[in-house]
Amino acid sequence: MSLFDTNTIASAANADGEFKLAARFWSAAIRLEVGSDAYLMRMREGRISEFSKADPSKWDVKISAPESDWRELLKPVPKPFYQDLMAAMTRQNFKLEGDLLGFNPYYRATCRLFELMRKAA
Amino acid sequence: MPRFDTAIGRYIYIGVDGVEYRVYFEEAGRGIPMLLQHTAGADGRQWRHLLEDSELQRDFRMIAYDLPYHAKSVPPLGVEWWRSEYKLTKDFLLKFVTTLSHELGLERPVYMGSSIGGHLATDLAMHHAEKFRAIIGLEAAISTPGGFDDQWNHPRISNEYKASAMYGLMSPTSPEKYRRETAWCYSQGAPPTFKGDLYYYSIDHDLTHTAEKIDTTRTPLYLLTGEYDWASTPEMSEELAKRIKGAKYTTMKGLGHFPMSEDPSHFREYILPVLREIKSS
Repeated sequence: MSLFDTNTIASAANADGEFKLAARFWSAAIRLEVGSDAYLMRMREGRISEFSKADPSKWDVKISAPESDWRELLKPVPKPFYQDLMAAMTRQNFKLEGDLLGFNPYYRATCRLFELMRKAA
Repeated sequence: MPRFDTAIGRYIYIGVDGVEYRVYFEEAGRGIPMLLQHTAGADGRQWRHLLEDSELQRDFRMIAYDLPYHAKSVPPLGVEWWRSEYKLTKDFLLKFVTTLSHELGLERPVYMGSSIGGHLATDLAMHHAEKFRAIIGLEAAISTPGGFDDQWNHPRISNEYKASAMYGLMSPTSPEKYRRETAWCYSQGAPPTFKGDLYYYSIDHDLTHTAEKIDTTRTPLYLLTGEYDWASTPEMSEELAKRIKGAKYTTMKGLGHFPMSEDPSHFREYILPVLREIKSS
């Protein structure tokens, strides 16, 4: 069973005031790896235009972790050092790769996306 | 009738190494003086909730200042600061805090600081213990390498990145309104200050070979760290405390890197017993 429903997340994010503000002008392909599962989230001008289970060869940023780490990150109240992507990268098993100069301006948008994933989980 | 906050702000001129700085501070309360140091790239507003605490106001004169280059303490007029990269050093911090204390006429104040202020607590305990009644380090560690990174001051990345990253340093159980306020203040720092302050946090502060030299018989040292602080973890602070004979360590459950501003009432539960002990000693 998938950890999250991509259609639900995309709809919630595209309707969320904070996400829309934080993601404004963002165009990028973000690959999410949950254990051996891969997802592609394509941002186009600040909206999620595509979010599906896929194994794309081209991406701008990749966020990956074992499924057990994702499960902890997406809990309503995560354990220490799973409360945030940077925390989980620094102290747990999350990895962030790719165009960081393109990604970091949208760090808040990504964190908000994770918050919406928590609510939907 | 207008409802005023009890804190009052004003400016003082402080000279360090021949440079004059116009420094802003806010204070509230009377009694034992207590200097309050903010975190990297931030300012004294982080202490506003403590300053408003009427119980503490009865016994402590709380003074929260903005370091030079931060918030209302604008850069000095006597140097062409715009020609070189801003970097906060241990030497400057030690001189600045002791000079500020002297110029304010404080007699053996309590010192409390968080993050860079927590690191500074231990450096003050090492070099100027006799000048302080007690020293409290929040989120302190032996060292915290790796933070002096260009991503923190890059022309293509705005201050929103810092604010967002700092939001994630807090506990998910802290009230959202206070986490948002803490992050908001972070979004307002001058672009070079956060990275420049991390020069001290990640490079210039290092007790790897010297922690045992801190002598707590000269002044008490209290160390407290938030459970969710991933920059200076409870484990790291506890390791520091183990190496300093007499240091008292507490993990603050359900708090993160900014205990005083992310959840003031929860922080109060931890810091009041410490301050009462200091008062009674």
